[in-house]
Amino acid sequence: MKIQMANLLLVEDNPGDVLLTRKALEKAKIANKLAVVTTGEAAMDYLHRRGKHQDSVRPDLILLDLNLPGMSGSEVLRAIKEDVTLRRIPVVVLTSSEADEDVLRTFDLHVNSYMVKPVDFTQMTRLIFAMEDWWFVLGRIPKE
Amino acid sequence: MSSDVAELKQRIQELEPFRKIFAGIPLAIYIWKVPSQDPGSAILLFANKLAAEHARRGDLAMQIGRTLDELFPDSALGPEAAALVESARSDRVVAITEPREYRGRWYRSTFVPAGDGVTAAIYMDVDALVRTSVASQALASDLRRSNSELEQFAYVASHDLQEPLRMVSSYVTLIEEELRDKLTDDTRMYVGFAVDGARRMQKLINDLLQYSRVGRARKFDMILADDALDDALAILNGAVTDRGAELLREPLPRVWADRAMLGRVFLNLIGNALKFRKDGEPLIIRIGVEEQAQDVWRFYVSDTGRGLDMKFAERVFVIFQRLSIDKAGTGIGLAECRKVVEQHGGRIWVESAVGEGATFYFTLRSHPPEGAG
Repeated sequence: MKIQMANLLLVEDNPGDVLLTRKALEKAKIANKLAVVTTGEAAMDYLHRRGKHQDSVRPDLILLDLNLPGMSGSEVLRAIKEDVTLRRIPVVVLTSSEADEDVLRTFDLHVNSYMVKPVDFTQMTRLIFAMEDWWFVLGRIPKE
Repeated sequence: MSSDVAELKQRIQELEPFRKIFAGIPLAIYIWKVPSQDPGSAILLFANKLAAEHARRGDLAMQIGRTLDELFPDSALGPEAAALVESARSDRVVAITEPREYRGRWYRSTFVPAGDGVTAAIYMDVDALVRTSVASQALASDLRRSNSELEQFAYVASHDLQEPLRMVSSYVTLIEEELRDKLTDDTRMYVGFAVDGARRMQKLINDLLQYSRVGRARKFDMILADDALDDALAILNGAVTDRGAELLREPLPRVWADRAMLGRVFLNLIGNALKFRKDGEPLIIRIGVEEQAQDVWRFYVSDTGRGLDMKFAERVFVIFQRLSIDKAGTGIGLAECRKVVEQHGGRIWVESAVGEGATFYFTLRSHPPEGAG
C-alpha cells in the first residue's frame, strides 16, 4: 500500500519531545498527521477506540517512548504485539537509553525498530526522514 | 569397715570418671525419669554443669529429685517437653534439628532414651552459629539492596538524566536553525559550545553507566581472549587502520573471564592508544601475552604514542582523572579497566615514559578459581 497520508501515533509524555517530533515532521516529504497521547493507558484507549478516543484513526506507525509514567513503554509494546488486531502496526521505540539490556528487552517484545533519541535537532530531522523513507517511501506496511 | 561400705566406695570410685566426663562434655545434659504422658511430672535424675547454665540455675545437683514443672515453671519448653515424653515412651532417639531459642540463647536438642522411662535431654549451644548466619543473611540482604539501588541508578542515568540534556541541546540547535540568518559568528559559536557541552555530558553519563555496570550480570567462563579482542576491534570498526595505525597481535590464550567485560578492557586500551598518539608519527599497537605464573597470564597492550610521566602511573586509573585536556575523554575508561581486571582477580598497571609510548599490563586467571563452577 502506497501511503498518501501517513497517520502517526506518538506516545510521549515530554512536551519538549512532542514539539521536536512535530517540528521535524513538518519537514517530512510525505503528508502526515500526528496524534499524540501522553500515557501508555491513553495509547491503548486510542488503539482500541475507547473513552475519549472513540473516533481515533488506526495509525500506520506508532512512535513509542519507553519511559512513560504509569503503564510503561515496554508494557504498551507488549500489549500491542500480543493483540492480533494491533500487532501488524509497526512500532518504533524512541528512547534516550543506549543500554544494551534495554535494546535486548525491547527486541524480545518484537519491536519493529529501536531508535535512540538524538541530542540535537538536525539529527532528529535526519531520524524522521530516515524513518519516513524506510517505512513509507521505500518500504511498505501492511494494509489493515 | 563393713564390706557394704567398701562396695559403695568402690562403686562411687568407678563412677567418678563418668562424672568428670559428663562435667566436661560441651553439651547441657539432663537425665529425666518420665513416669507418665505428662512431661511436667518428669523427675530430674542428673544434670551436668552446662545443664545448670542452660537452666540458668546455680547448682542443679541440689535440684535432683524435683519435677520438670518445678524446675521450669515458665514451661517455655513446648516441643522439647513433647520430644522428651515421646523419646521416653517409645524408647527412640528424638531430635529437634531446628535451633530454638531458650532464655536468649539458641540450642539444638536431642533426646536419647536409656530404657525404663529414662531419657537424656541433650542441648547443644548453637548460639554463635545462629547469630553468625543471621548476620550474614543481613549482609546478603544489604548487598541485594545496594545492587538493586545500583540498577535503579543505572536506569535513572540511562533515561531520566539524558532527557533534560537532550532538551537543552535539541532546542539550542532548533534555535540555531530557525534563526539561521540572524546569527552572527559569535552567537553561532555560543550555540556550538552549548551543544558540545550537552554532548559531553551525555558521553559522561553513558560512560559512568558503563562503569556502574561492571560487576553486574557477570558471565565468567573459560573464554578465548582473542574473541574479546575481536569484539573490541569490531566495535572500533576499522578505526585502527583508518587512522593509519598498525596493530600487531599475538594469538591470545584461554582465560577465566567475562567476554563482554574483557572486550571493554581491550576497547579502552586500544582507544587510548589511538587517542594519545604522537602527532604525525606512525603508531604501532602491540597486543600479546606472557605467562606470569602457573595459572596467571600477563597481557600487554603497548603503543608508540606520547606516553606518560610515571608519577601519574597510579592516577590514570582513578575515575575522572585525566592527564590531557583532550575533549573526547571522560576519565572513566582506565577506571573501568581497573574495575574489570580487579573483578577478575587480576591487576592492571602501566609502564611508560614521556614520549616513549606506554605499555599497559593486566593479569587474568588461566583457570577457574577454586570453587568456581
